[in-house]
Amino acid sequence: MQQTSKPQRHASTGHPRLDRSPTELAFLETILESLHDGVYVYTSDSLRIRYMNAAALDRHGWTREEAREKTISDTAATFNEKAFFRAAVPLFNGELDSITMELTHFTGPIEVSTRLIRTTDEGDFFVSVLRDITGRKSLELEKVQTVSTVSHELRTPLTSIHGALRLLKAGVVADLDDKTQSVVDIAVRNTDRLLSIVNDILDLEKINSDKMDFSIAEMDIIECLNDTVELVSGTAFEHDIELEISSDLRGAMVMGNSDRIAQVITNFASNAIKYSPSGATVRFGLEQEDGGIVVSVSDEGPGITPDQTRMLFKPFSQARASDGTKRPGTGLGLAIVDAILKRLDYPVSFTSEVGQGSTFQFRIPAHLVLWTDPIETRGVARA
Amino acid sequence: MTTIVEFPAKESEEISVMSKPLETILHVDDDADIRVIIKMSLETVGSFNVHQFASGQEAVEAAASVQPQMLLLDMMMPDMSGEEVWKLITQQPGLATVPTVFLTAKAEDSFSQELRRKGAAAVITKPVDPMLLASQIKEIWHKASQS
Repeated sequence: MQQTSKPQRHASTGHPRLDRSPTELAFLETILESLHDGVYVYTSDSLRIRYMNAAALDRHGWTREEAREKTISDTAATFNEKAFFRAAVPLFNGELDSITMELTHFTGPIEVSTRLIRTTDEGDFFVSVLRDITGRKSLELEKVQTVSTVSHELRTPLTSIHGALRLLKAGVVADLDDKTQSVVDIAVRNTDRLLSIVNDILDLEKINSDKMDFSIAEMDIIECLNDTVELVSGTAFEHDIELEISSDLRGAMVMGNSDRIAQVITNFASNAIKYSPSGATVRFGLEQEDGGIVVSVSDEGPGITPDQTRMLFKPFSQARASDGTKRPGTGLGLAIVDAILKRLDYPVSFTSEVGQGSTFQFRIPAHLVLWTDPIETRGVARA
Repeated sequence: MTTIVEFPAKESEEISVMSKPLETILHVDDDADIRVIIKMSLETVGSFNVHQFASGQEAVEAAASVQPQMLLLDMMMPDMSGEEVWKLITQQPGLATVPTVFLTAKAEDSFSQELRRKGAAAVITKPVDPMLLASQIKEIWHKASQS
């Protein structure tokens, strides 16, 4: 199985225990055997298969006896035991109750949810439930394609409206009195908003249909960060947000796609500005870490609850702030970021504390860093 | 919001054409509203002389008499694409190397790169900001003159 998305983690509610009567267990096994989802039970140390239900056996063409001779690693040629145990740490330490991953199997897209079950007499087992999500994925794609077609149709008239309003606002057509100017300002602002929504949708569709350029070349990551911060400074000013850039590097050349990286930083920054209270500071960081370079954007916003993190990188999902209000936007920004960073092979992560703020970051892996020029004293610049 | 991808101009035998200031632009777009906005932008904001056509065919027929210094072409049009208009106009005497700028809502990067390979001076992605278009066109003209 090839991993295609970050594990989605669910908060811990304690470990279930198998302390039921034999009759009840037989009844439960009958139910398990009739499920469409594949169920895999395997030991938590050697990953040796203890039980697979009929759907799981069918998927691999194994008999029950054959399955007993195998480990979970045999279910996919690309199974990576080290990565599996790394992902399972939160289950062992009780931090999480289950881990859900979307994977690409040779049969199509699947979703695997894994829990750790501790028994007193037989030891500890993982239970993984595998669900075929081909239908769900194709519906998601259909949704994006439909919205994308509509967006294309919207963009032509919007271009005219936007252009006409820009000429009007700039006084090219006629001088405007204050009242008219304020009404035109509202129209311009909202047309800009509509256009950015349409552009987000089209971007996501471009990524999904392989029409976006992801070619990588030598690029100056510090220049890219500075230029992007400059680009968002107008929006920050409108929201009364201060921007701060700090870096422990004077120079850094990496292999990357500057347009795509700028798009990612802009998305992080736009969210950070959107969710920050007036007067707050949004911090941009660029640091060398284990040979790689981490680019981060931190805000002083309401933070993200564990419930909200599950949907964070999904298209059309948008968190409500702690005050219950929704910020303007499509909820596509992070889905675009996720898709771009996956294609560039830059890991993305975030940390958040409710009431304190969030930090979103991506890491340019060491093998894509060409050279760096560290500075002794960390530099801080305000934009 | 507008994305501009600039490209080097084609090797020119008629580089002297570009050594004088840009005055005459031939613009083709099938959308009447866009034509009004582009005309206002380029004539009022940019002081250029803009000859507009609603179809590729009309533009191809009029190009010889207009003798444009620059072509500004919408890419997606019903009768012929901007690329076809470009080809047919640049086949005409004296217009072989006229710098050509494409206006397109179709922002696929591969599409822009293909036009670059073929020698387009720039591709401007809609929506165009009419307050900035004239300066963008001047900049493209300046670069095309230098190359």
